[in-house]
Amino acid sequence: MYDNIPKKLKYSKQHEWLHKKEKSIYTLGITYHAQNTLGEIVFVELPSLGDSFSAGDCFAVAESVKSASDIYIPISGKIISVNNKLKENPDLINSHPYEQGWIAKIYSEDQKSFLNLLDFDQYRILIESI
Amino acid sequence: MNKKTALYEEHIISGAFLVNFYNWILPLYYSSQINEHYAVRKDVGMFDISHMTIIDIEGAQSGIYLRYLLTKDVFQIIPGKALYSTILNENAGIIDDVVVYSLSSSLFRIIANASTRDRVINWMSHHKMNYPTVKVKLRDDLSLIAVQGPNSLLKLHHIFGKDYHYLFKKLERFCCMEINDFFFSTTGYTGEIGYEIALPNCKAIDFWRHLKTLGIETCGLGARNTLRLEAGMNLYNQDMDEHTSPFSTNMSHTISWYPASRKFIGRTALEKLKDNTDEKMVGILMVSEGVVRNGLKIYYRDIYGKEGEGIVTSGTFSPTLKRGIGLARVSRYIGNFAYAKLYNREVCLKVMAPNFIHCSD
Repeated sequence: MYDNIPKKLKYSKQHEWLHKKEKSIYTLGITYHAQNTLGEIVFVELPSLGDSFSAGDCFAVAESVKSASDIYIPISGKIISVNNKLKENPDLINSHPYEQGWIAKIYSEDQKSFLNLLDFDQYRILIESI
Repeated sequence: MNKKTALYEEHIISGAFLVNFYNWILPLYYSSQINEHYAVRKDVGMFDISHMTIIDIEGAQSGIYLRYLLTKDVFQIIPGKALYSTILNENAGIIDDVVVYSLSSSLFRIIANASTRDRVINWMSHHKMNYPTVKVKLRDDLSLIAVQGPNSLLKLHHIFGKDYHYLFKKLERFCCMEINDFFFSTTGYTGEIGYEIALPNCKAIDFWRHLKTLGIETCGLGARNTLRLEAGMNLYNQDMDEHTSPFSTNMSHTISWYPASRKFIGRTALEKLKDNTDEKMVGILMVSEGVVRNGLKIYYRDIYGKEGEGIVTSGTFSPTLKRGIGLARVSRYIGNFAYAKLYNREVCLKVMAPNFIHCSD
């Protein structure tokens, strides 16, 4: 189970993960737990390049066969890239939630929100309590 | 109260993901809902549908009784044939949609929904008052397995040996036959050819396992729902219920109007509603990518330019078309397009007859 929570990532309470690639550039997606709860993802509504969001905004939607799930941006920022592979293969999020199933890359200077995110241990405790 | 079919343990062994469906514990999927859907569209899959209600109606007056109970006229069929009908209340509200099979001149079988089990049984018992010699028997001793897909005949015709090949080959659509204590009907809820097979509960596990050795994929309720919606078929309690008539739910074809002298429950109300119903049910297809969901409000300008509002009664993602499809209750004057607010933008929906895919039948 702990293999499903990579140690180097940060996590939000809404089950998104964040990876700091370099200064002010982050990659994000949803966790193994999130995709497992959703079921087979059949469609992802991605944001447009250049869209800006505040921390906690819904910036994408993942549709599984049974329901739609809003995906929230953990820190404020601007979309600089989206994973176009999800258009043809939305189920990449199910099979590889942390690698090929990434959702968007953002530019952010929101240090405050970043520091408030959960680390590996805190996220593990969160999902164990569910 | 959680009810289990005779195949419950098999589903556990398969590792199926189970859900509660109107008090029955059934598989939602075994491995992948999408793959199970494709198995039925491209090859053959099977469903445990033992939760459905099988009722046998026996006696010399059973045909006359059913002519009163059902919107379809059972005098139209001879033994070995089936009809898709509704049971209405006195206000022409739909109590259930059923398939009725003629087994002999004094024996009919009805398969009704699990969700309406008590309502249908009570209704049928109550209205049997004028037909005291008719026996209504609940067949809980039978399990029901649906085998559906273009390769159904190919995979099934040899299960009883060469001598029975011809029986399977000559069985047409919407027909039924009995071989030993197996009941086969060429009906289904997927839009593909196939069989719904009733058999004694004690034989269900062996038969299910045997079908698996033939390479038939086990499929759950999830795939059953996406398949029936692609085929434009209603789901009771979602697309229709006792507050809706056949006219507003795309079920007019379940009514046999002739002979005009045939009295059936709901006929009087139905005649008043005919040509007087402002609503109808249509299919909707998302023009762009995305999914439609139950309860989504849709907006349109009708053919007279008037603004209207409708509701999606069943919506899903169509694995075959790879976009959202649904059934919606709308004004009978709706045009060719409607709109909905989805993903913080306006999405366009094509309005069409609910035949989203070319079905084998």
